Order: sequence, then C-alpha cells, then structure tokens
Amino acid sequence: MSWNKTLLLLLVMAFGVVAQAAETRVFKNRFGEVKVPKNPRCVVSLHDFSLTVQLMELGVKPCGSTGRKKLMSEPLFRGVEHRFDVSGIQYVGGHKSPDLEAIAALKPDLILGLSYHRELKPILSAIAPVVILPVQEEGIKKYAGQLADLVGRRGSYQDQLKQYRWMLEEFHRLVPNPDSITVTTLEIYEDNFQLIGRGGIDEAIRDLGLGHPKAYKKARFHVPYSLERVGDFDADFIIDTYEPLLNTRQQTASFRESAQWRQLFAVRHGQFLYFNRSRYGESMGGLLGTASLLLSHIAERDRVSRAEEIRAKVR
Amino acid sequence: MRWAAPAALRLGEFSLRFRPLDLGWILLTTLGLFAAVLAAATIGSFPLGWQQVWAGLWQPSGSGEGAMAHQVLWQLRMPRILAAMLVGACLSLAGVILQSLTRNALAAPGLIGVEAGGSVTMLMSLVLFPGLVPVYLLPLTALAGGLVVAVFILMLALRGDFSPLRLILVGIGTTAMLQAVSELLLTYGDIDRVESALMWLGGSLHKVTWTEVRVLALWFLLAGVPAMFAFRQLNLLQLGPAVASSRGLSQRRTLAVLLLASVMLTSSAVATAGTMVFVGLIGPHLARQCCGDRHGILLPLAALSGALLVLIGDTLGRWVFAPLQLPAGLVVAIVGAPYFIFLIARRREFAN
Repeated sequence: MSWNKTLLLLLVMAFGVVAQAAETRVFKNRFGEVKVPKNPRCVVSLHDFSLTVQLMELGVKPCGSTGRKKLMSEPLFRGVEHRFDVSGIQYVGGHKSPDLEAIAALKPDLILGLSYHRELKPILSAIAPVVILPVQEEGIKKYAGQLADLVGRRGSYQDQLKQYRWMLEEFHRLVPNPDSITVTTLEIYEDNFQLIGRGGIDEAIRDLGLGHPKAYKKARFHVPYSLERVGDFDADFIIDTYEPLLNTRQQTASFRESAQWRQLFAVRHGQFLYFNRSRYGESMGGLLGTASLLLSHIAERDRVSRAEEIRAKVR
Repeated sequence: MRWAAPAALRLGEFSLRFRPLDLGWILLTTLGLFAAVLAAATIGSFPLGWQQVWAGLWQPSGSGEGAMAHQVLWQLRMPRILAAMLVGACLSLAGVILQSLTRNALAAPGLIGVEAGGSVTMLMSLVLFPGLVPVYLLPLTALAGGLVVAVFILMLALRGDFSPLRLILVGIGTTAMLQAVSELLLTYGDIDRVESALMWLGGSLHKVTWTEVRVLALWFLLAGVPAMFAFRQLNLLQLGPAVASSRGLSQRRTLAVLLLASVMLTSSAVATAGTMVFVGLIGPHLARQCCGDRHGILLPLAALSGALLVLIGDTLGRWVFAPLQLPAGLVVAIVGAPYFIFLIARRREFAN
C-alpha cells in the first residue's frame, strides 16, 4: 500500500473515531431527557461511592470524580481505592459541593450525578450534558442498568446481573422461607445509632426476601436513635458496619461491651455481623459482595431463630 | 486629621453634604472592588488569563477552543462574582439600618432573628420536606421565614413606645429559639439532607446561576436603593427619638419601613447564599472606620465594603484549597474576625 493510501486510511479511521464520539442520542429516565454522546470520551462522576465504583466495575475509568478529602491529605475515592487503579481520575471536590471549574477544566462530554445534584444541573449543563441517575430512588440494579446503557457497557452489566440472580436463587434454594429470618441493619455511633444499610446491604436483603423485626418496619431510616432503643430492633441477625478510616470500630467498642448490647439475641447467638463499610460501594459489585456475605453467614451455616426462642419461653 | 470643607450634592429634593475625603473612600473602595472583580474573574481551577477574560467579556459567545472558557467565565464565574457582591451589599446595608435603628453597634441581621427565620424555613424545606418546594421557589421560603419573624419582632417591639433595647432583646430571644429549631432539624434530620443543609448554612455561593443574580438584583433595587436615600432619617434617628420627633420625623412609620427594607435585604441574601452572620456586622463597622456615622456616605460605603468582603471570601474559598470548596461565609468569618477585633480594639469610643 502506498504512503498516500495509508495516510488516507488513517485519516478516515481518525475521522470515524471523532465522528463516533461526537454522535449523540437521547437518554431518558425519570429525571428527564438529555442528549448524550453515544460513546462518551471523558465522564465525570459526582459521587464516588456509587457512580464512580459502578463505572469502574463496568470497565470505564471516569476522567474526574468527587471524593472525600481532609485538608492537607490526599483525596479518597470511597469504595474504589482498594479495588481499582485510580491513577488518572482527577479529584473534582466533595460530592455536595464539587468544584465546577475543575470539572470544566477536564472538558468532559458527560457528567453523571445523583438526585440532589439536580440543583447544579443548570450550571453544569453549560459544561457538558448532565444525567441524573436514580440511585436513591430506584436502587442499584436499575441505576446501574441505566449507567451501562449510557457508557455502552450493557454486556458487562448483564454479566453482573446474571451472577447476582444466581446468588439469589442459591440463597432461596438453601432458605425456602427467608421472610421467617429477621434482620436489622444499623450503624452504631458513640451516642446514637441509625438504621442504614450501605453498599447494597438493604437492597440485597430486600431481594433475598429476608424479614425484619416489627419495630424496624415502622421505623424511620437515616435518623439518629438513642442507644437505649437498640433493643427494640433486636433480630435474628444484626448487621452493623464500621469505617476503618474514621476509626469507628474503636470508638464504639465500649458500647459493644455493655450489658445492653450483650443481651441482644443476635449478639448472644453469634449472629451479629460486623462488616467493613467501604468494602463495597452502592454498585452491582456491592450487591454481589453483600449477597455473597449473606449467603455464607445466613444461608450456609447453622442459625437460631429468635421467634423460636420466644415460643419456647412461652411454653 | 482636619476635614476639608463639605461640598453638597443635590438630586431633586435630596441633598447630600459630603467631604472630599468621603469621595476618596468611596473611590478607593470602588477601585478595590474593581480589582477584586478582576482577580476573581481570573482566579479559579479553570485556567483563564487576563487576556482571555478581557476578550471573553466583550464576546457574545465563544466558539471552538474558546467555547469552554467562555462558558466558565459567563456561566460559572460572572454570576458568582455578581451574586457575592450583591449578597455582601445587601447584608451590610441591612446591618447599617439595624445598627442605626437600634442605636446599637452590635445589631446585625443575625442578631434580631431575621437571618435565623430565613434559615429555619430553608432548613425545613431542605431537611424535612425535600422536593416539596420546587428548586426555583426555594429562595422564597427563606424570604417568607425572614418576613414572618420580622413582623413578629416588630409587633412585639412596637407595643407602647418603641424601644431599641426591647427590639434587640426580643430579637435575641427569637434568634435563640429559632437556632434551637435549626439544631433540632440538623441533629434529627436525614443525614444526607443534613449534609446539603450544612453546606448551605456555611454561606455558599456554589449553586448560583443568573436566575439568582437577577432575583437578588431585583430585591436590592426594591429595598437597597431606596434605603440609601433614607440617610437623613437615619441621621435623625441616630440622635434619639426626641430630636427626631422635633424635626417632624414619624418614628414608627420610619422604623417600620426601614425595618422592612432590612428584612428584605437580609432574606434575599440568605435565600441565595445561606447564612453569613458576620457580614452584616463587620461591613458597617469597616465603613464607619472611614466616614463615621454620617449615613449619606456610610450607606453606600457599607454596601461597597460588604460586597468586597463577600467577594474576597468567596474567591478565596473556591481557590485556596481547590478543588475543595470552602463556603464564603466561613472564609469571611475566619479572615474577617481577627481584622474586625483589631479594628474595634483600636476604636476609642468602645473603651467605656
């Protein structure tokens, strides 16, 4: 092939790549319609613990991401750092108040945010198309599917979903009546506790069909409860999470030494599960990891039931 | 220092006597503000040089490589710069009015409960009923809260003869009560919503768009500009009720109108940028250092000082630890408080 032909071929290929990147389509979800590039080149994520993790799991490295940072310390991408190579991901500020100019400097062609970023959408839209994903509104599986569509990785997402569904089936094979097992997810702090299950824990519990104690069903989530009320949420299994970066395991150790804690059914029977909070993000990987943990700790081992203990006492 | 002979400026029925030095301060502060605007336009995480800024200011729209720079300048920086100046001017003017009405150097929008009223209604929108009020109507909730509290305080303060001390005491009590409500909302609110609310409470301008700038400018025109023409009434009120009445001033009506203006200015600023308690206190005092209590000069100078303060605070906040963003209110308090203490320590009239 002559040099001229080679050059022409290269030009055509280069033009093809540019044209492909510039091609757009309309993406639609509950937050509206947005014209987005078919093959985004530089994606900025406004939430590390959900969107950035899921992008990395799909094999797409965002060019920028929000993260957590203390003054005079390196930024941290929660749920991502320990699983993926984060070099090349530009820190663009905190997820509640990202540095909009740092995002603009990356010249992104797609910006992804959560529902509370809608307030920033009018400003960010001047930089690139902004897609709001329903992480809190529709759960991990739904938003991850939409994200996969956006970045053209539907296949990888389907693989994750298939694996997750298998775990659910396996759990149901081993535990035919999962709703008879009660579970409480919480986070204990020094002077209060909240009912939270991060990293896909609550969604996985819902998908597995596990039950909850009565008080849990009526309770409000993400609000502080007095530690005195922890007994109200006693269940067959209690799941708490700790954050190694914030030293929460050590900070709350004295409460776990208290008689109040030790009297809980789940604690007495070794059915208190204490997981690393940042091990998994709000992603399909988080769902898979959590489902795997619950499969091992609940389905694949001997367990005792609080309801049976109460019935035995009554008899 | 010897003052030069005062000159007079006439505009219709208004006449303003000023000293050449007053004009010097106004000019100096305006130049400082202009320099701060230029600095704020060129400083930021997105690299923009002087030439790009200058060229961008005169171009209707950018194209090609310059398109993003144009967007950054016109959609991110300029609205923020203008909003910072307007917020500072509003709060500082509101501070001067309250300090003069109450004849108390410590009076500020934060002290009489107006700022706290706006904060509580905004917090209720953000923490308790997120999504209930559309985003574009959120500023009105702060306005509503500020106005309700102001009317409440005014009704209590105007019972019988007006007493500046009673106004302040009622304001302090109301502020304490409203702050307790705010604390309650922050302590027992949903953690994600509380995080957003805390950013707003710190006095942040990171969400500002041209819409907020237009709204703020409108409120400034409605309340701030007329307030600047009330310098004579404020000068008389400063001399006490007996002198003011002897010069034919209806004290109750003047008080109600000026207090309403102060509330409007405070509420619009709070709705846009959250709470910046310190600006309403320090802005007027910075201006007083230059021109004393002569309101004809004090009012515009305080507006300029407040604008300069918030603009510097916001620029430092978005630049010093970038991409970490510090709320402007926080920076103004951190940088301004030591300077304020230094200034007050030097002033002799506070000695006793």
